[in-house]
Amino acid sequence: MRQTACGGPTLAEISLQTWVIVGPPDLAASHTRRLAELGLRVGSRVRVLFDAVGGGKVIAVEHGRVALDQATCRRIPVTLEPLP
Amino acid sequence: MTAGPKTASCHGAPARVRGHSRAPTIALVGPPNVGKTTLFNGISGARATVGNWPGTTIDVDRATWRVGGLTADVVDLPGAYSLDAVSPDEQLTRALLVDAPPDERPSAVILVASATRLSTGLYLFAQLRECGLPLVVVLTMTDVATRRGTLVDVDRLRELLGVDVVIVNPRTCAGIDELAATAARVVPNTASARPCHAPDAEADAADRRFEWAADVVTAAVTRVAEPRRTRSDLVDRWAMSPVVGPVIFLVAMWLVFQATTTLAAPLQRLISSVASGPLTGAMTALLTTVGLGHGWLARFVVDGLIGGVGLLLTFAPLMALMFALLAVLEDSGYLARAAVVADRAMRAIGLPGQAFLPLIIGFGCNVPAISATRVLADSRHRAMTALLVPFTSCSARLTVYVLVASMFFPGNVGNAVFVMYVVSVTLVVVVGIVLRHTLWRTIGRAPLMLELPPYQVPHLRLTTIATWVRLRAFLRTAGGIIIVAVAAVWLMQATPVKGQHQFGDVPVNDSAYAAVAGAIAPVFEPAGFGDWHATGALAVGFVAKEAVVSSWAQTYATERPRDPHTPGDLTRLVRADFSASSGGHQKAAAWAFLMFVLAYTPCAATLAAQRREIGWKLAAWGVAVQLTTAWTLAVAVFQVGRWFG
Repeated sequence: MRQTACGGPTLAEISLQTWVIVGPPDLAASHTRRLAELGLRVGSRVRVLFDAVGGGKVIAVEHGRVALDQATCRRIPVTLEPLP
Repeated sequence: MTAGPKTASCHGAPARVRGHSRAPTIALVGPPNVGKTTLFNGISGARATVGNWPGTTIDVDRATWRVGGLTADVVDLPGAYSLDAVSPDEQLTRALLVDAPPDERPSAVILVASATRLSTGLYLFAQLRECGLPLVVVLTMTDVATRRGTLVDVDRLRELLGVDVVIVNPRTCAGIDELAATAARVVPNTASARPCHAPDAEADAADRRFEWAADVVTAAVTRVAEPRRTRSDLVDRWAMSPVVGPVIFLVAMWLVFQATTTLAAPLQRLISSVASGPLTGAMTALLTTVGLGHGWLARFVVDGLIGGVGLLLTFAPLMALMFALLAVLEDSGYLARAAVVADRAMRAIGLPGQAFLPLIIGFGCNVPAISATRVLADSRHRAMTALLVPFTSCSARLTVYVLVASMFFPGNVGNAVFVMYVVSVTLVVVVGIVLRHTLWRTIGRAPLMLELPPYQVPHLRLTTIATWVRLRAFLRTAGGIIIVAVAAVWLMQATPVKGQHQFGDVPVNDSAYAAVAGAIAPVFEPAGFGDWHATGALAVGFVAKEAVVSSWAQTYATERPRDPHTPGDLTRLVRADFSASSGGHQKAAAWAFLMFVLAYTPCAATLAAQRREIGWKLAAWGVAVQLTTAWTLAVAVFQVGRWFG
C-alpha cells in the first residue's frame, strides 16, 4: 500500500465504501484551499464511493460528490474511521 | 422584464456590475451549479444559458427585475466557491464584488446555496458578510436534500446567519414571489455606493470561516438518515467506470448524431422542396411581373438569396434536434461526468479534465468555447485549450458534412457524420500531444477536483429554452453571414475578368470569382478536389462555415441557371466535378474535402475570440497550425483513400 511521508494510507488506496477522516493534503496552498471549499478539509469525514477512469476516485462529501484524479488522491492522507 | 447584454468579461470591457441608471443592482452569487442562472432566468424572464455542470456561466448576464414597487438590475455572476479566486471566471466575480470602485459595486447580494452542500455556500457567505454588503440567502435543492435524509431548519439558519433565508426551486420558480418580497425589504431604493472591505486573506481566517460554517451546519441541519447510495451513484458507477465509462460516452455521442440526422431528414426534404419549388416559382413570377425576371437582380435574388438561405433553412430541423439533445445531456448532469471520463485523455495532452468542458461547448460553437477556457486556472492550460477548440467540430461544419455525405454516401449519412466527430476528437488529442511536446514542454499538471451535480430528469421548459436560444442564434448569425456572403460572391461572379462581357452578364467561368478560386485550386489537387467550385466555397468558408453550402450552391446555380435548385441536380454536378478533379476517386476526394472542412480555421469570429483570449501572436500561429493540419490530413486521406475506390 502506498503511504504518505508520515506512514499512513492515502485516499488512493482506500477500499470502496470506507469512511475516512481527511488529513492535511500535500498540495499547493491554492489546491488545498479548493479541496477545503469542496468539503475535503482536514478532519472532515468522507467516503470513497467508486473508482473512476484513469485511477481517480469519486468521493462522497456530505450529500455531494467530488471527483478527484489519481495523483490528487495520492496526496491526501487519511485515517480510517474507528469502528463504532 | 428584459434581458440586457453581457456587461463584463475577464478580458473585455472593464469589470463593472452597476448599470448606468440609478436603479439598485442585485448580484446573484454562489458556488457553481447551485441554480443561479436558472434563478436569474426565472426572476427576469431572461434566456441565459444554463447547464447542470460547473462553469456554465463565464460572463455576466444582466436583466431587469421588478421587486415590489422597485425596478432593480439583477446580474448573474460566474460561480465561485469563495472570493479567493483561482480562475479568471472566479476573479471576475471577486473583481465585481470587492475590487470594483464603490459606486460600481452591487447594492445587495443574493447568495444562492444548495441545501445538499450547505457548508460550501456558507464559506462564501462568511466572506461576503465581511465585505459588508446587504445579503439575502436563497436555499435551493431542498427537495434533493430531503430525499437524501437531510432537513434544513430554515428559521434556525436565519437566526444563525442574521439575514433573510428563502427557499426557492429555480427549476419550477416556486418561492420566487417570497424572494421578491424579501429583496424589496433588503435592497436600497436607489443605487448608492456601498462599503466593501476585502475579506481577510490569512489562512487562520479561512480556518475560522470553515469552522464557523461547520458549526452552523451542525446547528441548523438534521440528518435523519445516514448518507447512502443514490440513484446518481448507481448510474455513475457505470458512467465513470474505467472500462464502461468511455464506451457509454461514445455510444451517447453516436446516438446523438444518428438521431439528429435520421429524424431531421424528412423535415429537411420538406423545407428543401418548398424553397426550391413554390418559393422560387413565386419569386420568379413576381420579378417577371415587374419586368425583372431575367436580369442580374433575378439571379441575385433567386439563385443567391433564396437558394442560399433556403439551403441553410433545410438545416434548421437538424440543428434544433442536435441542440435539444445536447441540452438534455447538459441538463441531466452527464457532461460533468464526461469531463471525468475524458480526464485521462486530457492528461495525455497536458490538460486537466476541466478543459474538456470548453471543448464540449466547441461542438456547438467555437466562439463561446474559447471564452469558456476562463474556467481554467493556469494561463498555459487556457492558451492550449483555446488553440485546440477550433478542432472541435462546431454545428456550422455539420451543415457541410450532411450536405457532402448525402451527396456521396446517401445510405450512411449518420455514420459519416459520426466518423467526422470521432476524427475531430482524435485531432484534438493528436494536435494537443504535438503542442505539449513543442510549445509547452514544461506545462504543469493541474489536479482534477470536480464537483459532480446530482443527475436530474431534463426539464422540458429549460430544454426548450436552451434549444430555442441556440437555434435562434445560429439562424441569426448564419442568416446575416449568408446574405453578406451571397452578395460578395454574387458581386465577384458578376465581375468579368475574361472575354467581352458586361458587369452582371458574365458566364461564371469568366468571372473574378472563378479566377480567384481557380488560383487556389491547384493547392488542393493532391487532395483530389482541385476544382474551383469547391475551393471557392472553402475560401468563403474562412469567414464562416455557414456560408460554404450557400456559396457552393450559388456557384452552380449561376453557372447553370436552368437546373440549379433541385438537390438532385446539385448532387449530380458536384459529383461530376469531384470525379473529374480526383481522377475518378470521387469518394476519396469527398472524404478529403470533409477532413479539410473539419480542420481548417472555423470562422473569423473564432479568430477574434482567440485574439481576445490569447493574443494575436498565438491566434495567428493557431491559424497556421489549422491550415497545415487540414491540408496534410486531406492529402493523406485522399492518397490513401484512392487505393480503396
